Amino acid sequence: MLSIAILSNKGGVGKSTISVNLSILLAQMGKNVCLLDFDFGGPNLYSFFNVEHRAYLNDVFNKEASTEDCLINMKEKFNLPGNLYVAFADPSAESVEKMLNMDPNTAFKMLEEAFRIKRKLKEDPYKIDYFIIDTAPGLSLTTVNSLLLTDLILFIVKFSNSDLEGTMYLISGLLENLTNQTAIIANNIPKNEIEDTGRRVEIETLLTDMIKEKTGIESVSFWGWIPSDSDLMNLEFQTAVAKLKGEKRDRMIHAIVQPDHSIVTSLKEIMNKLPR
Amino acid sequence: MIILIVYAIYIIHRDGVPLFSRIFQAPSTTPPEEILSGLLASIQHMSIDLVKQTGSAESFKLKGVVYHLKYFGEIQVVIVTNSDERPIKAMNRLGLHFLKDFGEKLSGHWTGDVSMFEGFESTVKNVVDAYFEFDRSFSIDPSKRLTTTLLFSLKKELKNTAIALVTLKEGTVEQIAEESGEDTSTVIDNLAELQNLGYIGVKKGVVEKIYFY
Repeated sequence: MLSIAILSNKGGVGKSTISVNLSILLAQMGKNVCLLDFDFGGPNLYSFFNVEHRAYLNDVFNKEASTEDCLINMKEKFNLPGNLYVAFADPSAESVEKMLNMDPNTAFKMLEEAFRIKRKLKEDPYKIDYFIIDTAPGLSLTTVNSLLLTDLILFIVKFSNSDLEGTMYLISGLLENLTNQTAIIANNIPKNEIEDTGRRVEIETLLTDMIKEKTGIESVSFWGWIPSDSDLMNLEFQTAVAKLKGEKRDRMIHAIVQPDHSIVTSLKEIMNKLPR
Repeated sequence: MIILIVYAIYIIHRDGVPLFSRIFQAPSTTPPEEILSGLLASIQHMSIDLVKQTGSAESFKLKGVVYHLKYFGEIQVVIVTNSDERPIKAMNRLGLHFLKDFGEKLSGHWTGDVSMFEGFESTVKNVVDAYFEFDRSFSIDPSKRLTTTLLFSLKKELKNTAIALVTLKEGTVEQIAEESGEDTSTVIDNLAELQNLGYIGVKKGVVEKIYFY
């Protein structure tokens, strides 16, 4: 099993969109995938799937539900060759407040339970190949839990100065203590900038130099670019308005709805870099 | 044969200031050095009242463990064991070594800085190895509670072993090695270090030792 934490310094950089699409793409390849929402302070994975479920991850951590109760298999919904189990974080205000004020004891109990969930997922009937955690942005106890649970960290960055700099600080702080393999993915990049190979290589070199200089760590690699998508922004807006009107709508998953979209193509290239 | 277990070693100044301590057991079994110092001071006062002589109290029993006491000039050595048998050789070696290493500094202008005694750790280790069957098959509780941040800040070499143990809750060396993907000799070393750090405990299983946290 390869375990992956999708992490970012700031919110809104596209972690959940990448987590969901990456999970779907892997399940489309026949892999068994488990995707967990660890963003307990701002849960949103559920908004991509719109399915009935019996329990949240929070309930499992509170020992009010079993692992089986919170995992939902999306295989049939999306007609996937592999299994895709997802588990959501509780979005209720009460739960979010509780998780934001989490004490160290509760965080460790949660970690203990998460280690046991992960262990269970390696066995029958799950036999998970990819264990993916969509984390909370920045550094919190739940983020540290996510990092302790995984082998590979994928840092999603936006190309704004504050995010780049913050990401470098976060990486250097974390990797002092961790052995996780770490890679950076740049999201929301103007299409025209990365369509030009020369320009792409130039920015890539600048970025890798900055990673080495700011973090002092050689092992962090750059894995690729994901272009911006104005249609997606428009669609997300329309979905939100539809929801306000009480209509039942899922958020767009490119890997399902537009498999030839540049976001999907970029993610497929990035997937090739995943350790076998 | 009774296995002589050492639970704790304290070096305490005659005026009651704790100078050094090494606790091999959970804090619930042995008191913190400050509380012990107060207790010892009371005992010595009592012994002066009764027999008009300092340092005449040699041992006392508390919660089933025995506190052996001996004065060496300005310092008092306390060894806590599971037996009434007085560990005189170990006490002598600890007391004399301490005086040799730090006696001069103590009698001079000592400022109260106890960090200077940290170097005594290696002597304590040698004495424990030489005189006590520090039997790890006997149940030894962790003295510190693992947390997310402690696990995160553990040195990299220990992390996988610790994570495997947390995943399993408890396990033998083989089970922990299988879970962590490390070889057994690495796991044995790591478990010993984690135990020394106080993060994990060990108890006697049916056949093998079982580690827990």
